[in-house]
Amino acid sequence: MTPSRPLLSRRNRLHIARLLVLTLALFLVLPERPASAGANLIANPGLESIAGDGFPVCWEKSGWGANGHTFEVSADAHSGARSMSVTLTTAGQGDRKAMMLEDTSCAPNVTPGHQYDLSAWYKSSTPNTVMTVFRHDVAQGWVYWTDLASLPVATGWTQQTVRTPQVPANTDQIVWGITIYGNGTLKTDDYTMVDATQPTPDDSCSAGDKCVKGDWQVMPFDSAVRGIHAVVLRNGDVLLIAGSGNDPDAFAAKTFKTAIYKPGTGRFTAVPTPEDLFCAGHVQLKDGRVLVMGGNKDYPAADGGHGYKGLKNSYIFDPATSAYQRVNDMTAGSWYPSATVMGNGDVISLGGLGEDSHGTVATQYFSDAQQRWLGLNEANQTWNFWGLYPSMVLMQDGRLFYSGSHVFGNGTPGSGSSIYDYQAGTIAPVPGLRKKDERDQSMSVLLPPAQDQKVLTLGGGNIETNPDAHRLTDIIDLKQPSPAYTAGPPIPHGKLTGGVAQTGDQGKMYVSAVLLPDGKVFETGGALHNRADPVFEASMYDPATNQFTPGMATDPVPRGYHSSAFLLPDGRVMAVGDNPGNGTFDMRVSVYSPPYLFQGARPQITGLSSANWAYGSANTITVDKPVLKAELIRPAAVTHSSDPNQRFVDLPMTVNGNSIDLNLTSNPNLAPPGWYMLFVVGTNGVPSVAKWVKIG
Amino acid sequence: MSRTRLAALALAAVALTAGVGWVSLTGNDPGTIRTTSVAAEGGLPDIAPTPGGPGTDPGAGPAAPGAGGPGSTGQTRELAAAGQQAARAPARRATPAPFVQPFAGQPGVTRQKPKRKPTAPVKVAPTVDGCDRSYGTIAQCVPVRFPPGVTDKCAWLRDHGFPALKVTGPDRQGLDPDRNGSACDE
Ligand SMILES: [Cu+2]
Repeated sequence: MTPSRPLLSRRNRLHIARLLVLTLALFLVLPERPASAGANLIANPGLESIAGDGFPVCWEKSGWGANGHTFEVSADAHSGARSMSVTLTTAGQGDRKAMMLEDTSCAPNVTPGHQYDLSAWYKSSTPNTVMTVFRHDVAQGWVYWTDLASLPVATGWTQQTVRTPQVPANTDQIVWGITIYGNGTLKTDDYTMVDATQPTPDDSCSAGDKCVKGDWQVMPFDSAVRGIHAVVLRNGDVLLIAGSGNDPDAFAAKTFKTAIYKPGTGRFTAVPTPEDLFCAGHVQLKDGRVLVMGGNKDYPAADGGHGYKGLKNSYIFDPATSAYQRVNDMTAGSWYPSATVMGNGDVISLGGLGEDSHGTVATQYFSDAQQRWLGLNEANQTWNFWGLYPSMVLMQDGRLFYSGSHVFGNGTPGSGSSIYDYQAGTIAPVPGLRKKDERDQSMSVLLPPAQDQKVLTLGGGNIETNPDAHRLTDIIDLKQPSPAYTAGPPIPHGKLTGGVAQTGDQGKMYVSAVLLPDGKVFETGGALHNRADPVFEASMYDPATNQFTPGMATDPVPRGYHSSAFLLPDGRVMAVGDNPGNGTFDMRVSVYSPPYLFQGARPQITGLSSANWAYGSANTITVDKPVLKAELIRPAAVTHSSDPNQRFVDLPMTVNGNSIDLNLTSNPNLAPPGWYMLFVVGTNGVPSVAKWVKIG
Repeated sequence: MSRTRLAALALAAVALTAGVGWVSLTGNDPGTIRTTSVAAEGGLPDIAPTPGGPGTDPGAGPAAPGAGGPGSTGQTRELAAAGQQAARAPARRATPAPFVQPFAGQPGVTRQKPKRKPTAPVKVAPTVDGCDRSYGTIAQCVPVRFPPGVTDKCAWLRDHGFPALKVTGPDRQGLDPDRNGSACDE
């Protein structure tokens, strides 16, 4: 400041006035100019030019389903003389939307990797609206991309702005519009689309190898219990369930163990464990308590007279009291059952072994509202045997995708993968999974973001025929009308005991895949044969490029049977367990720091408007630096390479400087209710530490 | 964007930049001042969304039927939600119905209908975990089939940390040729 400086001279003011008049003249003379800093990429954004069909040039009437609807050009405009109006009178199925024409001259051109602020003025009498984006893929043509944000009801003209995620590779144009799917009228006007790409800081990494490979540390203490089941709790602690821990002597002595591990302090707290929860299923309920189902009723008879027997018992572990509380029994014994939380917070459990050690064919349904397992006749039954720990991933329409990933067994029926519609009671095969009978202890993950509805299945073996575990990966896009697995890139080769390099088709079973906050998938651990021959290999899979980056740092501890790896709220990955055939159990804990933790300062979430988020809402956070993206990651509940609830839900951003509104999907099937880790990722690619947020 | 609107924006810009220009002592070039849209928005009714939070009852929204309770379908919940939102206080942001996409319809694919409730159990072999129960303790796992290329099973077991194993059943794998009840003890 220079307070002594005199006011502007008359000549200065005249000069400014002249500039201002010139500016005004330019605004009036020049055609269509954006109000914001960057160029508006939309053709006919104010909808003032009308085409021969009576609808605005470069816009079309779009939508699907049987619903009563009208499209109009309205004189009720935000500016100018026209807006577009869509009215739904008998909503129910499908939607309607005024969309930009999927046409090379109308659709805005985009650059892969860039982000765009999409904005429109609107009035809406229904909350059932959403901003929807399609992209032009240079290979596939026009395809659905994503839904960005719900628009609140507005009686007066209101502006909604949302930033797209980074434009995917092979995309040269996008079109977008606002979808209405409830009864009411939606008017829109004055669309803008502006490149909002932020510069990437060129922070140089000085951590050597860690910059690209990351770094493992083996903790200087052992786990207090055999880490067979691991659940990340809503307070950031880790619940490690062993039960008898695959130790028949502990079973005979009724020594059942659980411990809470606090990553911050490295401390373990013992939890009294009411039954042998070894081989149970587990999933977080919407209030953050953990539903544990089934377990080990008995080990196999020494004379081979019977195999493992499943418990019917079920418990809820409450992080607030650090205690298990019994709920009613399941309808059938469940040794190695699946557990998937549904969009309404209920839980469906399938497969496993019953009290008689034979296959459990019941669909077991836990009602969140009633806090009990429904009776056999209260739930829809198909009487299908799904095998052990079948990986059942919740789809965006509420059906379950059986990825084909499972534990044990030899010879899965049909194509080895299917879509299960609980409501209809039907099962429809899904083709394309290679080596379907060598997917024992493979791992499946719903790839980031959940909105993309793609599942990756990695590796696997067969404990009965005991071949070399393979390195195949298969990917499925559940957005397709007829989804089918297609071949993905092979898992990179690793090293076996003694440093022997893997060759040919050698891959891994007992593999772990962990969704990271930067949107990549960390693949680690595994072994080549039935409870033998650990594979020392880790790689980073990028869903955006469909490629593995090989040569990540490897966990020095073997991680085969009964091992797991999972994301901690601080962005690191923790790994526990290994139970080779000789009957030993590795109690070491290792923690991986991914490369992003060496690449610059972490963004801070400095404010959170609320920790309780409703579906379809915008939730304000403040951050201390520019942010590339934000997402919710559901905390792990993993065992035996199986965590079908693991998901990464993108949160499209409305950016106002350091204040960012995060738009949560309206669809609970994309983000089932519960506690999630909220991460933001800085423009340097470094994620924040998570804040905990409760959805639904 | 119409010219009328542009004119209004420009006028707003003029007013704002002129004000800024006259007060500011740093002498910004008015051409680079980027406050026009903000200025134009100034007079508009503010219907900014209230962020979702405790005010929104998580149990009452369409999230409750969500993926469909034991008896609901995707279509009915949207209608139900539309009705629910009308009853809400106007100041509160109504929760939209779940927006579900019509993906993965699988046209032409035959769907397996529910089976009859089985009368006989679905048999699963006691060796489901791939371990030969004839050897060692239940905690140990001599594979029912050794990995490809293994010719000397006892050497393989030794290499993998197995001690001498008690033979508890039929010696299917021939690990106890001297039949002393202890496998791989030579
Ligand atoms: Cu197991």
